[in-house]
Amino acid sequence: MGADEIIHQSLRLKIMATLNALPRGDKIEFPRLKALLKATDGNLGAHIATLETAGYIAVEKDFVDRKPRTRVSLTPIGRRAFESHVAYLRDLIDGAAPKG
Amino acid sequence: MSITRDEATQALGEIDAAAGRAAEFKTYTRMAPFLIIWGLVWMVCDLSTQFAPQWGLAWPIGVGAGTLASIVMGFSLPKPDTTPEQRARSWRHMASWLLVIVFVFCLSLVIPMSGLKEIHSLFGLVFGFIYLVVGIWTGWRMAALGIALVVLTLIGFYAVGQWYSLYMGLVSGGALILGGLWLRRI
Repeated sequence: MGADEIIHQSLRLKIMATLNALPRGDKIEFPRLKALLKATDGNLGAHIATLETAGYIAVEKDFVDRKPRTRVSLTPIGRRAFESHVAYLRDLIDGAAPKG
Repeated sequence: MSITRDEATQALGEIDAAAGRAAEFKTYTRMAPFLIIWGLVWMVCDLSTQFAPQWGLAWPIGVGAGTLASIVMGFSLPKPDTTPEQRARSWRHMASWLLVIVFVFCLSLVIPMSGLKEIHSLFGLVFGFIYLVVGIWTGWRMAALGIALVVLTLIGFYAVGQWYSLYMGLVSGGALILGGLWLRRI
């Protein structure tokens, strides 16, 4: 078990933490996620793409009342990866894990 | 990659902060529609009481309709994959709110109250303080709404006179509706 370089970037870490705090299967819309994280469209979009490519999050696009809607959720792989990374961080603080 | 203990501590702090905001958002979005429902009930019933007091059925019908609407709203909310424990918790939430209504009604039976103004104000104060307590645990917006409801109710009780029902309908009912809309805009 080691640090997850994909998750450990600041905004990606917050994205994963936010999605992990929602009930399993819950999706959050892009504008709400952006407001919660106080991120810009471009910055958030880039990091979401990185996490999606890694298989950690799922991005669902559809239309509601003819308006495009983008929703994001954590995948089971992403949840396990996040929990593993958090466990690594805690072990690092407790002195049980190597630093790199 | 190399992470120091300080970086790990900072990262865990960021995780906790993000999770806290997510939990706050989750509470707000689930409570918002119920605040709007009961704000509408207050508004309609109070206006009816003010301008058609002879009718007398506004509040029983309003509370019944509000309760039914709340139950329907509860069932219609999106259901992610929840555990049996989480599903049981939502039944407990609903039952808790219903019990508060019954509690205040029972209070009105044993504590001498001269009329609708006292009973109505008691409901306003009880729910205001409940929102305040909920806000202490979930987020400042609920606490702010609770404080507003308490203050508006006390102003109505002491300062508004014969226009009490109109005031409570427009101001306190309106505050609940606006509060619900505000909670949705995070």
